[in-house]
Amino acid sequence: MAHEGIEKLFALAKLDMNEEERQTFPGQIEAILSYVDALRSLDLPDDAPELTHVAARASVWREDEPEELSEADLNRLVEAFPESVGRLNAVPGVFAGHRQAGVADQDRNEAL
Amino acid sequence: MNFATATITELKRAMEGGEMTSVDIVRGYLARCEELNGALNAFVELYSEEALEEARAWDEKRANGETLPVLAGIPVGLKDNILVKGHIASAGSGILTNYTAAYDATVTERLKKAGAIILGRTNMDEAAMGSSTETSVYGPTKNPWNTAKVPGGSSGGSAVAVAVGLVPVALGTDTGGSVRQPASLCGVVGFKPTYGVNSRSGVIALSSSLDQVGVFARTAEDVLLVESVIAGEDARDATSAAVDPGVLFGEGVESLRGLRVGIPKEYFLDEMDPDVRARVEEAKDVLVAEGAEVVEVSLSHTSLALPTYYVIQPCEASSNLARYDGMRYGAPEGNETLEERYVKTRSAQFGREVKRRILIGTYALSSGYYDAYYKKALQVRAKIREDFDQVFEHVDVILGPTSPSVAWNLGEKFDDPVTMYLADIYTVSVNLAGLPGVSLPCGFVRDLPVGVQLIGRPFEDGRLLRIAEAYQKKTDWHTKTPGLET
Repeated sequence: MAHEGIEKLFALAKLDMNEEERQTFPGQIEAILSYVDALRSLDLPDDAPELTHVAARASVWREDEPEELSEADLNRLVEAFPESVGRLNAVPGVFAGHRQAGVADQDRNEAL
Repeated sequence: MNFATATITELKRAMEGGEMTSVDIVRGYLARCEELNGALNAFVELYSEEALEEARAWDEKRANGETLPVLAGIPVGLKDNILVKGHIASAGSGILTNYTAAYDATVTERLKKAGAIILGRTNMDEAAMGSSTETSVYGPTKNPWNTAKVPGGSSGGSAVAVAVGLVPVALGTDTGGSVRQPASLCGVVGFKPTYGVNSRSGVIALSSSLDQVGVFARTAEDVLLVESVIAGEDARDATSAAVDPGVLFGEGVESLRGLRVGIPKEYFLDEMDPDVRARVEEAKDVLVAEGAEVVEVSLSHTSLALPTYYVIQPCEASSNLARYDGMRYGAPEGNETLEERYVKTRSAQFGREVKRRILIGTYALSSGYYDAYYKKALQVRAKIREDFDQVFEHVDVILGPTSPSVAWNLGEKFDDPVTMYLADIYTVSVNLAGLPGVSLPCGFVRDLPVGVQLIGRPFEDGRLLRIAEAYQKKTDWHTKTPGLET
């Protein structure tokens, strides 16, 4: 696999290689891909059936009803947030190239 | 009570007969954990205080003459990817070592409702990717029959916990053999039901069309009991099957007389380890001696099962593991931009095998490669299922080895992915086809356990386990224990 190929793959997977992985991964990935290439040995028509779900159930629905969440359970979820502003999950800005705009640092620090 | 070999049936009888209390039992198992777990690393964490408290509560109810649910007071081990509310569930991964489960998995909830006591979480290969329990962030688990050897994986902790009697029963998950294979390497029963029979809600997902919770125990009888409690349709899992666990795993006896046992010629190649082959053929002979009929069959796409699996599983895993983004839980690294947090957290906190499989999956799903890999794999999967459907028109059950070898040395295959993948050769087809499968101890080779695998028709899970029960009535391999106690 070409060097640019593997770099692109890492970008897609949101991963980065450390030095050791840069040495070993390309070869190991190639080995695995060579192994699964055995699938090519079976010639199948383009429209051969695909098995995605073994139990083949039709769309299974349930009513979209809100469930009550206890205060304790809600707290458990909020406490798990790596960073929060009050009860809100704080994350780096999606569109901005830097931290969430619009929440004054002072407010954030008070909330935290 | 010999905790090393006690079954749920024996423990229940002891409690019902007043010889032991649940507190006695929990204390007994905790004492064994104290003595043996350090060297084996089967349990990552024990919930000792909580377990004793629950035991006391069940003893009190029993003393008051209350009607008790079927697993009241029985301790159970759960693999570290099965959520227990209020406890850490890390799936053996550095990316989740501080994740406290906000809810119970459905199987956990059903066990608790049936009176079972969760004794602790057991070790596993990271993200359930592995066949040796060597990649956990908590270090490797050791095979109790020879502590220089692997216990198999990815549910090695649960397999070992039952093999040495740290608990009488434990749950694991099986995506490509991760319950059956370690059961085989550790000398215990390991069962994976038909896909959809056990709910996947609250089970940390690896590969959604392959994952199933499975059960480790000493006897098929115990497995039937536990499955009758945990199985069945779940509104929280849209892939769960509309089955009644009481019916699927209910009372019944299966006679071996006239049973048609299929022996796939692709499972008994000349290159097979002759000693493993001998043990498995002896197991077949036990069935024949009881009147079963052997039929040679062919599962012609067997040689493509591993390549199919090692495309589908990494593809689904790459999708499922995208949720580990350092945003809603975990201890992320990198803070400047969204991208930075994703990449830094995932790179630092996922292990090597996990990264490899995410990369394979990402590649196989990417534009330009999707048809050649993923689509092709799904088509071959359909062929594999077709092979089984055709064979099951002529036989009732399929028999073969669970693992091509007995346990190998720790570190031997660790960073050699393809060699490691070959350990799953007999188990992955069963997940690809969604069938029930069970591994039963059938002897030893060089003092290491060998397992025979029985594969059943879809939704004939109870029948499969009763066939296993009949085999166990004629053999005593399941009563053997490593004898590590001082």
